[in-house]
Amino acid sequence: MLLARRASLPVLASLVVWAAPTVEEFLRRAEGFKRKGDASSALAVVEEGLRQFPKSARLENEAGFLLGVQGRFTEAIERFERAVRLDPKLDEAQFHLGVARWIAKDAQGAIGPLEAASQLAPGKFEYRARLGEAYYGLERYTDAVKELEAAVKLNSGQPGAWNQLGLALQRSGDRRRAMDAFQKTVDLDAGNVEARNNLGFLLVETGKAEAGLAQFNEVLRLKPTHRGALYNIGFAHLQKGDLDKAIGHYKQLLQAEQDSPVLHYNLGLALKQKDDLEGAKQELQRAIQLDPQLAEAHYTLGIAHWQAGEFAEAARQMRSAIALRPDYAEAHYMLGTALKQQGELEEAANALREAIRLDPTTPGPYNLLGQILRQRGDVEGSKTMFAEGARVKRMREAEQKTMFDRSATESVGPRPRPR
Amino acid sequence: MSKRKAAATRSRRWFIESLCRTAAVFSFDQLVRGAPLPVQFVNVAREAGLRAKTIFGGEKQNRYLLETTGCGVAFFDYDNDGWLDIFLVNGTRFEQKFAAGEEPVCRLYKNNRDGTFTDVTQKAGVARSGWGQGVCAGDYNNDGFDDLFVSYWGECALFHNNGDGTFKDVAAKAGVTTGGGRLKRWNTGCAFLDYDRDGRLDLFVANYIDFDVKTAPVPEGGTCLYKGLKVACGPPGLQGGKNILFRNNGDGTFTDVSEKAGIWKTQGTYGLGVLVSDFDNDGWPDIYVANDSTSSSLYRNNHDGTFSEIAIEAGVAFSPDGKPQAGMGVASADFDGDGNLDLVKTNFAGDTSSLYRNLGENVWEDMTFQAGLGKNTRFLGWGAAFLDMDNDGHPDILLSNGHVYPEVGESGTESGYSQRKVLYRNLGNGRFADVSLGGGPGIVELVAGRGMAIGDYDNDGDLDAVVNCVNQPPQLLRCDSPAANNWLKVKCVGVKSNRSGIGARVVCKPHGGDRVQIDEVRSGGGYLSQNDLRLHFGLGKVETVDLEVRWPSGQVDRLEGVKANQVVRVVEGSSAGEP
Repeated sequence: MLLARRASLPVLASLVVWAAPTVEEFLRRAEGFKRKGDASSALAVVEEGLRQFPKSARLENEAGFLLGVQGRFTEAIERFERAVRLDPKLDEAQFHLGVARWIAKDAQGAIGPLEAASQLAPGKFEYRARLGEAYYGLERYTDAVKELEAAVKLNSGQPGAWNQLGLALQRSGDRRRAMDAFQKTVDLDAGNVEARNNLGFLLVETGKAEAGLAQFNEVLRLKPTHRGALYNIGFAHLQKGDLDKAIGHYKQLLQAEQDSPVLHYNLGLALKQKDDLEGAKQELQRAIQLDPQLAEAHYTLGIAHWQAGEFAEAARQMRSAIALRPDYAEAHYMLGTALKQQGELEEAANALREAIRLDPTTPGPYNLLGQILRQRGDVEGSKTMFAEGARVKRMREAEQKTMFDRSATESVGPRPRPR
Repeated sequence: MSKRKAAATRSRRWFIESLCRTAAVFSFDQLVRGAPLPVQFVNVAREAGLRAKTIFGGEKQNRYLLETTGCGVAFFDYDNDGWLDIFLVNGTRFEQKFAAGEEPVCRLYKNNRDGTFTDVTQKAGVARSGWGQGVCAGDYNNDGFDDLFVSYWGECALFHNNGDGTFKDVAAKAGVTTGGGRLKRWNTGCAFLDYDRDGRLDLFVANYIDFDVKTAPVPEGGTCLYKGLKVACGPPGLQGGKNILFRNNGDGTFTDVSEKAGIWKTQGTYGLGVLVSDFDNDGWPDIYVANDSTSSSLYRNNHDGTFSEIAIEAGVAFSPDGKPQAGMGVASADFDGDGNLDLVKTNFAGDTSSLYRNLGENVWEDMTFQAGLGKNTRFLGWGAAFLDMDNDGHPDILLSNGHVYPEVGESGTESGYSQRKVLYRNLGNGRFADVSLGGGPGIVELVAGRGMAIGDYDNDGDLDAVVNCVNQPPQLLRCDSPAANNWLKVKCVGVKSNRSGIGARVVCKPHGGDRVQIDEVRSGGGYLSQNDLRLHFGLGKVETVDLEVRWPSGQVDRLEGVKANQVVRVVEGSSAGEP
C-alpha cells in the first residue's frame, strides 16, 4: 500500500526511497519506544537499524543499552565492546561499557572504559562521578577524591556525588573535608540519612560527640529503625567517656537484637573501658561465638586477658585475630608483647618483627624487640632496635607537631592513651 | 551401717567435698580479697585544722597546661619535736587578681601533737605565692634542721630552716632559683641527694616545659581537644624542659652541673615525679624521673660525678608493650622482698599505673598485669606511694587520682574530674588486690587529688597520708587500724654523711629470722612530694628485729635486738639506737 502510494507519486517516492532511514532515524524511533517504556520494541528498531548499518557504533551502543535495561548484561557488554571497537572515541559507549562491567562485578575491566569516557568528555558530570565511585570501590581513594571533586565542580547540586566524595575523603583520611562533603549532602538532601549518619560518625570521631549525637537523633527521627545511627549513639557516648550511658544503650539495643555480634562487641568494648574486664570478656566471647570471623573481637578479648595477666589466653586470641587477618599489625604486636611476658622470647621476637614489617611507623615493637634482644644478650642488636624506636618516635612527634600547628586533633591536648 | 550413720557419712563426705570444691574454685587472691580490710582511712583534715583550699588555676576550665598539674605536699618535722608537720605547696590563678597580702601562699602547719595542726605560715616565713609545684626536704647545710626546696614555674625557693621555727628563702644566694630565660622554666619534682657521697646534699630538679603564656596555644584555638572538649594544650608540641642537677659547694651555695653530669643526655622530657634510690645496690644513688608523654628516665650513677641514662635498655622507660606513658608520680619499695627496690608509677587516664620489678643489675620487668594492677584504667594518677598500711611486712600501694581537665566535669562517678583513690593490698605472693572500696571513706571520697605524702602524723604506729587537692582543701587521711601488728620507725641521723641521713639504706630483719625488708631514707618522691624521712617497717607479729644501716659515707652500722613499736634514732657510727 505504501509502495503503491509511492508509485503514484514518483518524484516523492524516489526521495523517500533514497532517503532510507538513517542511523539517527533508527535512534529516534527507538527513543520513542523507550519513552513509552517499551524496551523490546526499541531494541527491535535498533536491531533493524543494525542490519542496515552493521558498523554503526552508536546503534551497537544503543542496543547494548536496551539489553542492559532488560537486565541482559552479558549481551549488553558484548554490544558495548563492539561499539567501542567500532568507534573508540564514542564516549557514551565507553561509559556504558564501564558501567555494565561494573554492574557485572568486573571492577578492573570497568575502570579502562570509564577512564576513557572521562578523558573523551571531561565535562560530563556523570562520567566523572561514576569513575570516582569506581575508584572508591577499588579502594583507590586518592583517585576517587580527584574525580568526585571534578564531578561536584561540574554539578554541585548532586547530593549523591557529595556523599560519595565524603566517603572517599573519609577513607583517604581527610576527615575535615569529608565532614564538609557530608554536610553539603545533607544541605542538598535533608532526608539523606546515610550522609547524616556518616557526618555524625565523623563528628564523634573528631571529638564533637554532642554534634554527632544530634545527627544520629535526626537520622532516627527520619528513620527510627536506622541501625547505623542506633549503634553510633553508643559510640558517641563512648567517645564522650560516658561509659554508663554507652553500656546502657548497648544493653537496650541487645534486648531487641540479642544475636548481634557487633552489639556484643561494642558492649564488650564499653565494659572494658569501664574496667569491668570479666564483663567485657563475656561479651567479646559472645561476639566471637556469633561471628567467629570478627578479628577485632579476638584482638580486644586478647587485650582484656592481657590486662588481667592471662598471657597465654591473650596470645591465643591474638593468634586467632591474625589467622583471620594476617596483616593485622597491632595483633602481631600484642602477640609479641604477651609472648614476651610469658618468657617465650624467640616467638615474641618473631611476632614483633612481623609487626614492624607490617607497620614500621610504630615505636613500640622496636622498643620491645630491643628489650628481648638485650635479654638474650644481643647488646648491639638491642641498641639498634632502641635507636630505630627512637627514630620512629621522633618522626611521629614531628608529624604530631605539624598537626598541632595545622589543625584540630584529638591526640594533641591529652597525653598518649596506650590502650 | 545404720541409716543414721550412713546419712552422717554422706553428710561428712558432702562437707569435705564441698570444701574441696571451694578450694578449687577460689584462688588465694580471691580469698584474701574477700577478707575485710583491717584498716580504714578517714579524712580528718577539717577537724585537724587543714581547711585552706589550695588554689591552682580555674575551677571549671583552664587555658594553659600550667593550671592543671597541681602541687605537692610534705610531711616533715621542721622543729625536731618528733611529730610530723605539714607543708602544702600552693599555686595561683591567672584570671583572678588577688589583693596584696591575700594571694594564695604555701602553708606550714605545725603538729599540735593531739591530732590537730596550727597554721604557722606567716610566723615561719614561708608564705610564698606563685605557681608552686613540688617540695622536698633535706638538711643541705648539715645544721641539724631539715630545709625545704620548693619548685615553681619560674624562680624556686630554698627555705633554709633557721632552727627557731622560722625559715629564710636563700635560693638566690644559694644559686638554685632556676628561673630560666625568655621561656620560664617549669620546675617540678625535686629531691636532695648526695650523688657524689661527699657528705653534703646536692639537689635534683625535674623540669616539665619551658613555658611562656604569651606564646602557648590556648583552647580557643580549637587545636586541643579531649573527648570533644576544648582543653589546655600540651605537653606534646611544647618545648620540653631540661632537668637540673645542682652540686652542693659546701658553703651554702650550689653549682649547676647538669650538663657535665650527663643529665641532659636523655630521650625523655616533660619531667614530673622524681625518685632517688640505689636501684642497682652499688651504694650510689640513682635517679628515676617519671616523664609525661615520653619515655621515663633512669639516671644510673657512674660513681664519678656523672650519670648514664639507661631507662630504655633497663626496661623502665615504657609500658609493657613498649609505649611511652604519661608518667606523673613515682614511688619505690621492695614489694616482693627480694632485696631490690621496685617502682610504681602513676599515669594518665586510659592507662594503668606501672609496676616495675627490679631484677637487679639494672634489669627490670614490667609486672603491672602479672601483679594485678592491670584492671584500673579509668583513673588519672598523680600521687604514688608504697605504704605498709596493715603493718604485715608487705608494702601496699596507695594512688591519688584526679582528672587533669576540669572541663570533663563532675560525672558523679569515679572517672570525672574528682576521683577516688586506688588502694592495692600486697598479698605477699607478688600480687596485689584492689581493696579501694573497702579502704574507708577517705579512699572513696571524690577529690581532684594531686601530690600525696605518707607519714605517721599521730605517731600511733600506722601510716597516714596527706593529699594536696586542686581548688579544694587538702585531705588528711588518718589510718585507723585495729590490727595488732607490730612496727618500727627508724630515724637516721648522719654524721659523716648528711645529717638527714638521706640515702641511708636500712635492712630490717626479724631477730633470729631471715625475712629481710629494705628501705632508704629518701628526699622527694611520689608526685612532687615529701614523705616522712623516718623509715617505717611493718613487722607483723615480730617483736624484735636486727637493723643494718648502710650510710652514704660507706659506714655500716648494725643494731641487734631492737624492740618493735618504737621510733629508734640511729646516729651514724653508733651501734646503739636511741628511742
